Amino acid sequence: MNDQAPNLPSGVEDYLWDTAAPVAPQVAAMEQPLAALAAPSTALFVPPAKPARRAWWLALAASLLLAAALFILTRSSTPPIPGGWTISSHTGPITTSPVKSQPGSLLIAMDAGAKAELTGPQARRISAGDSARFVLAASGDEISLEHGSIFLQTGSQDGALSLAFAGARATLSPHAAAQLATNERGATLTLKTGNAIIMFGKGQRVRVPAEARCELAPDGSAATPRYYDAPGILAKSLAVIDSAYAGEKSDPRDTTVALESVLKAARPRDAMTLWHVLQRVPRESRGPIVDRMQELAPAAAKSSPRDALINLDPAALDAWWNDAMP
Amino acid sequence: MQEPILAVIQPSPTQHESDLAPLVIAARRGDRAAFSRLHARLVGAVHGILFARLGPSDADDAVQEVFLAGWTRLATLRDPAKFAPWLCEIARNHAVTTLRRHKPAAPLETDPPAPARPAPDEVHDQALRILDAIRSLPLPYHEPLVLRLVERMSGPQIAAALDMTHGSVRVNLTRGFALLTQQLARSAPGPLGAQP
Repeated sequence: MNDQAPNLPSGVEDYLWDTAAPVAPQVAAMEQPLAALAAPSTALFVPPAKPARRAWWLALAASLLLAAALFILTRSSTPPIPGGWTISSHTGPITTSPVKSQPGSLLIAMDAGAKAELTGPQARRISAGDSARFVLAASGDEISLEHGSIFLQTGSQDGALSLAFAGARATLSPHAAAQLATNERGATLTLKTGNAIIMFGKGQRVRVPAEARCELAPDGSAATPRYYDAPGILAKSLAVIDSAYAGEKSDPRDTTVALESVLKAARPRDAMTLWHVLQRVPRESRGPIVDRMQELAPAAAKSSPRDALINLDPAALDAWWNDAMP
Repeated sequence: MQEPILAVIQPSPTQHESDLAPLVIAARRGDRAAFSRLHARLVGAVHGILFARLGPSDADDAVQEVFLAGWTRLATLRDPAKFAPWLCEIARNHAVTTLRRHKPAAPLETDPPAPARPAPDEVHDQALRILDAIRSLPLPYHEPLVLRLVERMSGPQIAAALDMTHGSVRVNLTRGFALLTQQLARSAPGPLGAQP
C-alpha cells in the first residue's frame, strides 16, 4: 500500500497496539463514540450436537419415539394452522394456540432460541426468529406481529398478503421479501425485494420500495421511509421532521435545519424519501423539496408539474412515483 | 496500611489462538459449554468483521448466525489452533452473502437484517461518521481499525483473530489510523479530525 500517511504523535502507536498502554487522547476520541456499537453482550444459544456415528441406532430409536410423540401431541392438542399454511421445519419448542377474540386465527409463539419456517399457498413463506410471537389470521392472508422478528416472502400471485403491527397494516407486493421486527421504539419494516404500502392513522400511507426500511411507532404511525444505506445525517434529520409531523412539540427552527440537512444529504435514490417528506411539511416548505426531487430524478420532472407537486395533487404524486421509482 | 496498587490485570476477551485449541477440541466432542466460552472469547472479533462490512444494523443478528454456522461445521476444521481465523472467514463469507441478499434480484434463503439500533443522537451520528470514514479507506485497513476502535481489541488479539503477523497488524493500525484522521479532517474539521 502506498497511501500517504502523516506521522502520528508519540503514544498513539503504542496505545493502538496495546490497549493497556497510556491512553492516547486522539484514539480515545474515536473509541468513545464507537463504544456503543461494539458487540452486544448476548448469550449464544448452542443447539445440541449431532449424535456420534456409533450411536446411530439409538438416535434413530429416539427420533422415532419423538416423532411418534409429536404426532400424538399434534393430533390431540395442536389447532389447525389457518389458510393452508404448514410448519415446514423448526428448531426448538413452538407453542400454538387459538385466539379467542379472532375465531379461526392462530397465535404462534417461539420459545427462546427456537426458529420456524412456515410455508403457505402460492409459494409464501414465513421465517420466525427467536422468541417471535405472531397471529396468523383465519384467512391466512394476514400476519400480526406481537413480538420479535418475522421474515415474510410473498409468491408470484397477488394474494393481498399483509403484515400488521399495532394500528399499521402493510400490504406486500408479489415477489416481495420483507422483515418486520419489533424493537424498543416500536417496529421496523425492511423490504428486501418487492415493495409495500403501509396504511396507518386516518388514511395516511407510505410506500416502501425494495432495500428501504420504515420505522413504526408503538401506536402504528409510520416514519419517513429511507434506504438501509442512507447517510446517518439523513436518518437523524428525518427523525426531527417526523416528530413535527406527528404533532410533537418542536422548535420550527429545528425542523427547518433538519429539512436543509435532508436536502443536502439526499443522494439520487433518496428522492424516494423526499417524496414522503414533501407530504409531511407545510406548503411554504415544499418548493425546495420539489426542486431537489426534480434535480435528483429528472426523468420524473416532465410528467409531474412543480405546482401540482407542491399542492400535493394525488395524480402528480403518483405520476412522479411511477416515473422515478424502478 | 493499604498496599499500593501496582497494576490492574484485566482478562483479555480474545487470547492467543493456541489457548483456544482445548476448547475447540472439547466443542468438537459436543461440549456446548466449551463452545459458549469460545463465543465469549471471539464475539468481538466476529462482530467487528461483520460490522466492517455490514454496518451496525445487520451485524448483531449476523453474529449469532456465524457462531451457529461455526458450531455445525466444526467437524470440518482441520487445525483446532486455527479456529479464530477459520471462524472469521465464515463471518466474511456470511457478510458477502448478506450483502448479496440486499440486492433486489438476489435469492432469499435465511434471516433478514436485524432491526436498526436505537435512535440516532449526536454521539451515534459521530460514530457513524467515523465508520463512514473507515469504509472510505483502502480495504486492508477496515478490519484492523474496526476491531481496535469499536471492539477495543489489542494488536496481538487482532493478529490472532485475523491470522496476520504482528508486524502487519501494527503497520495497518498505525497507517490506517493516520489516514482515518486525515479523512475525518477533510470531511469535517474538529476534534475527531484534528491533524496528528
